[in-house]
Amino acid sequence: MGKKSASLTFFKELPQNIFAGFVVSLVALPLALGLAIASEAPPLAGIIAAVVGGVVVAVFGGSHITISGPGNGLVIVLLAAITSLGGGDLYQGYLFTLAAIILSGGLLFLFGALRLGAMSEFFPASALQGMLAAIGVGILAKQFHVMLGLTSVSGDTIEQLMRIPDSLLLFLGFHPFAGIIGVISILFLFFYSKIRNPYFHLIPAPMWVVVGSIGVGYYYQLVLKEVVPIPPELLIKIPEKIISALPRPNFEKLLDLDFLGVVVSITLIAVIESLLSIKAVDKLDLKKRRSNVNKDLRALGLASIVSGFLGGLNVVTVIARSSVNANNGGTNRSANFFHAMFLVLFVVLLGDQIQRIPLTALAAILVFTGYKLASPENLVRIYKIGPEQALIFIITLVTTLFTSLVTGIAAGVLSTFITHLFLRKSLYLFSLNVFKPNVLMYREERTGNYYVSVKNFCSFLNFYRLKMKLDQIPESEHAIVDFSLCDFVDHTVMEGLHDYQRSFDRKNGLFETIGLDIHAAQTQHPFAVRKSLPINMLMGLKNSLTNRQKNLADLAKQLSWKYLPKINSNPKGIKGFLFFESKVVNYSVNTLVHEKQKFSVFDLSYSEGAFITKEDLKGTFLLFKSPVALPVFVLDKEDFKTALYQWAGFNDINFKKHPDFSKRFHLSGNDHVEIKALFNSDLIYFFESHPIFHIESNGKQLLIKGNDRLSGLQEIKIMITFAKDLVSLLKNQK
Amino acid sequence: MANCCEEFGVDLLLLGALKRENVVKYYLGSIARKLTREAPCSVLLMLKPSIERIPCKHIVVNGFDSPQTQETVEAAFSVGCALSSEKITLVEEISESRVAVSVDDDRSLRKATLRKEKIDREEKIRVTDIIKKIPLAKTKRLKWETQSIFGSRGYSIGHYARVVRADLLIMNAQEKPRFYHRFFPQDLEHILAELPTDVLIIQSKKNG
Repeated sequence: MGKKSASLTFFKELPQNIFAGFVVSLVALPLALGLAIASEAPPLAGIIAAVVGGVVVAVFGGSHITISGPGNGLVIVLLAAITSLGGGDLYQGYLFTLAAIILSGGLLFLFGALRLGAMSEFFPASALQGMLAAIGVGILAKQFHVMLGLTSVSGDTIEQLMRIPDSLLLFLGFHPFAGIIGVISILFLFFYSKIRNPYFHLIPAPMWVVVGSIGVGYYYQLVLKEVVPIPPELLIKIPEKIISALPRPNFEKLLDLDFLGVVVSITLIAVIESLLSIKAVDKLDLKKRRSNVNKDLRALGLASIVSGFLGGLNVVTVIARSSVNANNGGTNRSANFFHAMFLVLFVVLLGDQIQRIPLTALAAILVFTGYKLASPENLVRIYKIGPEQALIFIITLVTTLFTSLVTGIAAGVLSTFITHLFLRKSLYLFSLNVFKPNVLMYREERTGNYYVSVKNFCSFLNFYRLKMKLDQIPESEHAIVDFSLCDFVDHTVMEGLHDYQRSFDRKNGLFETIGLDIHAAQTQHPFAVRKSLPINMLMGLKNSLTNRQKNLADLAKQLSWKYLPKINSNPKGIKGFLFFESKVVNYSVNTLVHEKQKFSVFDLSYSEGAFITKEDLKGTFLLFKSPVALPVFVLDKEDFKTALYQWAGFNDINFKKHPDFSKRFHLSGNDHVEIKALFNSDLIYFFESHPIFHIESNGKQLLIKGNDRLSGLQEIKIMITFAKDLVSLLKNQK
Repeated sequence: MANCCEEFGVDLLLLGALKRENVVKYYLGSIARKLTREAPCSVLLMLKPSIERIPCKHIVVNGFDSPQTQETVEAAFSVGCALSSEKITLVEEISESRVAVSVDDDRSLRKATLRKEKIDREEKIRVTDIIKKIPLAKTKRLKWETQSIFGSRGYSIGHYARVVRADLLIMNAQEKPRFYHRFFPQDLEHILAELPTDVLIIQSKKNG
């Protein structure tokens, strides 16, 4: 792409990035306020971090659709820093912490400059999960009390956890109104994804909570003409003069050991959180680009320095907000910039409304965040990978809770290494080979495939070597990773390889791992246990068919199709469709196949968004081969949402001759000429006279999506007839 | 023994060797390794000497840019003819530093891939030139191909020989071995630490 066309695309996509930035700012506002308050910093500190992050990272960053701002992971470290460094004086502690944030920003910048982006690979996956869970428990323990309207509960994480039952019994006696707002908010957050109304989902859940709780305040004031029954200490306070009230970071403790410890912890968590987020968000990018991690780290470091001087928290890449960006059509860093600008607008224009947000509602959002981080599902998932992984997880979790993050993660690394020794029963293999190169990669002259061979052992200790080689393979190629000379492969590596497999899949490359089957037979090799178990477990549950499944089997018989009730974790053929570009496909199940004409109907489980904005969805899809070559297009019902998208710059192809069709359908695609040629009067009449489905073409195949839920038997029948009619119509056209 | 070789003007020294050494031996150096390093002549290290002759089908030989390589490749073809091998693979190990583009994102990846392809072509021309200088009688009897690998020198070829199950690996002798090379393994040291197969080290006359 030339420079000119690149800037042309930039301007063309500007409206949709502004739109995405706006939606992100709706999530960012409550989170930024909440995270700052949870760290005992002034509420504006979070906003400052988000604004500075948005601007600086948008200009200097190396990723595309990530959003930066104050991070969840840092709450615990910052809270500890602010309360301990000031020796009881929170404001003094905040000033010392600002200095620490500035220093850690410098360190972060150095990390990027020295290209240490691969560092996060040195931490075993289970230990990282354990650490994140500990952070989640920490947030949850503290904010649970605030959510109920009790701000006076103190003590360390464990004590606060123990007091949760007490608070639950007592909270109605203190500030019942505020507490009930908190409880309603948390219930709403848990049930939000169950409400399946597309208009409702245009505004992210955290914003609903904030808007709702402000609304209740106004209702009391304007309708009932009463004072809002929320005490002032449970409302947000913003200083009148924002500019003149800028705090000055205090560097007095520069050589203090505690202070330096804080700097190290902040940097460590910032690096880990950012890298994990960038890696996850890259998989949601519609344009399938690869982020420049080191450049992004430099930008984040710079942003943290600026934010620290202005009194803000430090800036990291955040997963939930980034995934909201991806889902709303953000395509480049300008979305990050606009999210910052909208935040500035909010604070300037809606300062009064922001001061009406009850802390209990914000605490509910944080409790939800904490719960998502520490969700028991994580432990169950890890236990399925292997009991030893669960042990590592728990060791890290408990150590972090009782000591500090740095000690916790160190314990996690150590326990992982000890488990490896125990599993392999040989110190020799690890000690002798850890510093030696063990990866060979070359492009086979005959086939043009990339061949990668790994020797000795491959674990979190030396995964970076393998990664360095794998990163050099373009994802559209065919890569083969051979482990037959390798005696030990750990869970971190297997998970990392799975990530590679997915990014190769996205770009239509092929990523194969070979040579692991022998290990599984010989020893308790991680591969067999780790890769196949979760799905086997699921299959085990599906022994007896449900009524719907029996009906489907009958339908298959009636049509003389084949019915496969099995769960397929890697459904084929759906990768090329735009619909799945910013979604993660989990598995397909209940497949009906017609072999000859290549029809297949299946239920699909997929998810949208990540972390607290994650929504698991299920739907029934019909996939079939088109008898003629088609342009790539998406046809959907014209409604409020698509109208909004249109306004944000997504194009809709309209036909002057067919006003009814143009009004009811939203048709989009890049090749306007081809699409207009395809949609002749017959086809348009066909669509007008049939039920409206979401239909997509990827050139060769057509995908029909039923409702936003699983379709019933009757609906499936309608879908099949619809598809058959469409095929015969397309055939006749030819 | 090393002295003997020098006195008698030995051309080839045959040694049996351990496939792998443990930590202590690695740093002290086993006899075979010591001899390999100090012998003034060519050395053949045998892993599994057997009375029954195992056919030597596939020979891997280094082809990196060094004045010794010409002689080594010539020797390889002579050995290959003598043992009636089927195939010789010339491996050019190319240091990653020659690519000089670090892969960060899509753009740098594209750039690096293009550069690699260019270097790859250059290397191929260089190696083919070497082979052109060898009498046709020898090169015609054997199938030969080239393979370029981007990776640390000395290590990649050993690993490659193991992956393709080569029967003989032919290498240049090292220029000047020093003690610190054992801590920062270079070229031959990688292979000596972990013999992938039988290894023949050709001592160049220029070096001797």
